[in-house]
Amino acid sequence: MKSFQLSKYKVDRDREKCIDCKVCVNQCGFGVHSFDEDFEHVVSNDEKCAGCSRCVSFCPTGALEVRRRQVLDVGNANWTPDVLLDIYKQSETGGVLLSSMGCDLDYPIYWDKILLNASQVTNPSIDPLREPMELRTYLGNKPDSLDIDYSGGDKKLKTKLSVQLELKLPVLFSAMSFGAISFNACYSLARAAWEYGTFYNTGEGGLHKSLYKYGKRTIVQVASGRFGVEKDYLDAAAAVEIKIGQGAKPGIGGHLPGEKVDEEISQTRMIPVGSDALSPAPHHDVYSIEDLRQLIYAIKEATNYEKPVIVKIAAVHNVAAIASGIVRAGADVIAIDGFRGSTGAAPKRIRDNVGIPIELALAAVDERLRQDGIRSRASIIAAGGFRNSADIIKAIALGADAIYIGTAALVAMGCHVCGKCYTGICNWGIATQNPYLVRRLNPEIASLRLVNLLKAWEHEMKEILGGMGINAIESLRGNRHHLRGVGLSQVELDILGIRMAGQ
Amino acid sequence: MGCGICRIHCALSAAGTDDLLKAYRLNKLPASRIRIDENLIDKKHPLMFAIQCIQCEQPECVESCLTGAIHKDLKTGVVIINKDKCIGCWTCVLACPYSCIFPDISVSKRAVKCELCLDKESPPCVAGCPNNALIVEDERA
Amino acid sequence: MKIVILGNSAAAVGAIEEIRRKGSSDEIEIYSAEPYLVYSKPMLAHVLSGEFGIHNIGYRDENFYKTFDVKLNLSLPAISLDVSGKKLHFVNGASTDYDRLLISTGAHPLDMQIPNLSADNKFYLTTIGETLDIAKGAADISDAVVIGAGFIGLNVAEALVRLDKKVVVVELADRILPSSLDHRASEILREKLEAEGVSFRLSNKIVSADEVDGKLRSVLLEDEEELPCGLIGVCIGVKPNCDFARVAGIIVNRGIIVNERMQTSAPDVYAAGDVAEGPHILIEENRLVPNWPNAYRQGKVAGANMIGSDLIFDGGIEMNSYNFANIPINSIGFTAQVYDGAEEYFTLDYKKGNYRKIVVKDGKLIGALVVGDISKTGMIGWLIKTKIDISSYINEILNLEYGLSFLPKEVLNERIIRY
Repeated sequence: MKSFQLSKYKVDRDREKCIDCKVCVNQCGFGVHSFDEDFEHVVSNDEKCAGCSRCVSFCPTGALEVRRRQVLDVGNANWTPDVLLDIYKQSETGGVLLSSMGCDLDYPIYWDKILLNASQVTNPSIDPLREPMELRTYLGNKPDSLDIDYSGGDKKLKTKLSVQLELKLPVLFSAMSFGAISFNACYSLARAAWEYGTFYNTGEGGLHKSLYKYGKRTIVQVASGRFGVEKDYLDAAAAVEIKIGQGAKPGIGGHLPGEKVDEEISQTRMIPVGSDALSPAPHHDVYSIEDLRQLIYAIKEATNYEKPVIVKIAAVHNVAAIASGIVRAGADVIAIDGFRGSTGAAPKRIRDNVGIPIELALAAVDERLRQDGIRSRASIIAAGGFRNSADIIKAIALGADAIYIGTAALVAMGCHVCGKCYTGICNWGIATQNPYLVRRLNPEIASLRLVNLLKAWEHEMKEILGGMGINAIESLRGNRHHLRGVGLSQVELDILGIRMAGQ
Repeated sequence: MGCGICRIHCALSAAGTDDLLKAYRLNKLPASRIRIDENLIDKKHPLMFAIQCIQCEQPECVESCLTGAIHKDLKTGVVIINKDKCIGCWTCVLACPYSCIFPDISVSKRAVKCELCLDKESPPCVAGCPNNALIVEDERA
Repeated sequence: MKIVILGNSAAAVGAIEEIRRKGSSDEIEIYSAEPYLVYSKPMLAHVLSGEFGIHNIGYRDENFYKTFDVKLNLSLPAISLDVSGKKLHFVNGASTDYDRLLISTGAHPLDMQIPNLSADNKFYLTTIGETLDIAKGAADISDAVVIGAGFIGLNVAEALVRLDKKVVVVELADRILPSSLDHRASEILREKLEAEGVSFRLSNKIVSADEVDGKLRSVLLEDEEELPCGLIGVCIGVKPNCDFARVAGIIVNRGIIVNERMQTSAPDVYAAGDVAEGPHILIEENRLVPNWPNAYRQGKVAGANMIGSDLIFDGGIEMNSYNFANIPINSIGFTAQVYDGAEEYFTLDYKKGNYRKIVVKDGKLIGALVVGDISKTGMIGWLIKTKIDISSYINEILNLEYGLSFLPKEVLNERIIRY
């Protein structure tokens, strides 16, 4: 049948600047550009354009521009062109619309409605270039009180401390599986985590053999499909994360198409080459909180209680109650993934409509755990669309111990958020297994970019903290007095636990 | 990754100007002295690299040159083409087993090859590679 | 040890450079029939057209003989060779002994007898002397005829056209550059040369000339066309200067027969260059391979063996590169005709003037002819010389996709060390 699909992107080539060098031709994995022998110059086919900007970046003369176009100028405020195109597509294919990366709808970004304090007059600010600023963060179960033996001159700690993860900065690299992203991308994350002093997460892709040497900086994930989970996998890691849910697609499982399962992926995930890697929606051995407790302790036993166990959940409506149950079940760290989290592939409707904002979820969970008197039993990692150091500071003030960055890390490596990861074609060498594309991501450069990002945020956070008169991240945690809201309703302010600016 | 940006940097540097558009429009952009060699037949194991003159110990081009325009500098090891003696017969192009001598048909009408840009701080191809694929080393240890 | 070299061209330089490169300080003496330092013969056409003077076509710089410690004797042609006494006799009565002798006397142009054509009106282009003659002869004429559409013939034709002469080239074969081009390539080049002002009469020959008072007025062709002309360039090929070797008892066929060490049948006597008939890369017989690169390489092999350093010659191969009418042409191996047991593959874009042909036998390349875009011909030449099986890559070679990256890993690693 005739398709009503139209290209959402337009490629503009300035002929005055184009020197027909054909770099755009070889750099576009979608096949947009080609050299026409008859015209004897490069031509572009808008239909295939994914809007990833690779050609724009690489054109030596800046001759290219790719922009979204108002491809249909029909419909009305309710029936927008995008809505129409979605229906056309489903009428033509009868299929579920797939999408990648994070929520694309215009829901409020609460970080942008929260403001930070600064010191003046009464509580002097601190100069981060002169005074030590402590950003070091420990994740794990903390005791309610400390028993110290004062006898014998030397003070000795009697309370046995649970094992902690030490981070140089309250930022970790979020779970991105080998399969969703390329090996070079995983390697870059591992190296950057190792070199900077934080952790990265294997996601449900298993741990590649050559990355075992970064084990001390690796969080391995035990997801519902249990891909790659075996003794060496758990032994190599610094911590184990049980993935119950993911912010981008709460309630459903994961899917890596068989075409992306090559020899390397097959060995790492422990599944046959070419088979679809389907993660079921629930863990089929976890149907109640008691089952979760059993799994948590099974892992603790298997790892000799030497590694913290993290439980990751998606932020949904009753997240506070779920979180309380998980902490009581024995988790050392609880990771909450807000609805803005990204994914390699998920149904569009679920990515865009399921889950709640991390800002509200975080505030609710922190408040509930404090009310239950169990806040110190587990650290909280917040995740889902963190973009910059200000977002991080605000999250910590709302109660997070640390945050996961997923999208931001990929962007640091070169991702332009074109959202076509589900096609398996990524011109930046990140979300693809095609060896021709993967080699474009040089881990030496990518890991340097990630380390630079963390260093930059480290400096910014120190500046912001200094400005607030704080010299240790501990003093900021859960300290909602440092936040004020603007443009928020009273209910929103109440849930966030912050006052209106001016109050 | 086969993008070929090294070729553009090389040609531009050989044109002796910074202005890429001007060089291209005024037809002053000479042949690049580096080329991309790629084998994309096996999709699982694509192979590609940029290759330039490897300054052979016993260069075929020197032995084949009809006018004696090419010689190997014993101090630097670089094989150099004397532009005044080259008559553009292209015998060296046919002789080089790596196909790393190029006919510069549009600008100088002579054969050209990589001469390691020793007069520059860093060869433009090395500095300009977006993926840090090229490195230059001094082997005279 | 005393090494004597007869001849002062590419082969001689190849021998000298190799002998010194290997660290030998043996005495080397050169005897040349000409009065010039070694010069590039292919540049003679550029002298004729006026682009270069006779003193800027040196093959090496003026200090070459001093730097390489070679005693140079110019204008001293040899007249006889005493192989058992190891002695050479020269035209002025002088003589010299040798411990090792390299005969690299090159070749002389073949002559053509035409009724009513005197020697004064016949010109050649194989030495500086001949070039000066033809330049003088061309000064006050306006029309010229060149016999032979080979490399030298077309060189003379193009040079004369640049001097604003009208030139007609008469060739016996039905195509130009008949020893290396096939019909398609010949057509492409011929059209471009005609646009430059060179006319052709193919499958034709001159039967007589018309001279008045010693001045040439015209020539008559076989098909009865009369061509007005003031001089004739005789460019029908060259013959090795090997008669005195034959007289000395050395085995000579069309040239002096040499083995893969460039040794002749006489002890301690070597031969190299246009005068030698040596091993060939592709066929199991000795052949004359009169091209510059071959001469240098044979000289190099002879030089090494003369000082006792064992070096085997892999074999000569036909190798030509042309730039007539600014059309690059590279040909290597067997390209001019259809060969027994071989297949030809080609791509042709007549409009753009691009022609690429490869000749394959038993899965291996035995020839390549490229007109226009000469990218990657060097690699193809190497494939021919190393006889690698390319039967799975014929298409890739034809459409320029083939590269070093197609070679097996071991070969790549060996040849490009770092990769």
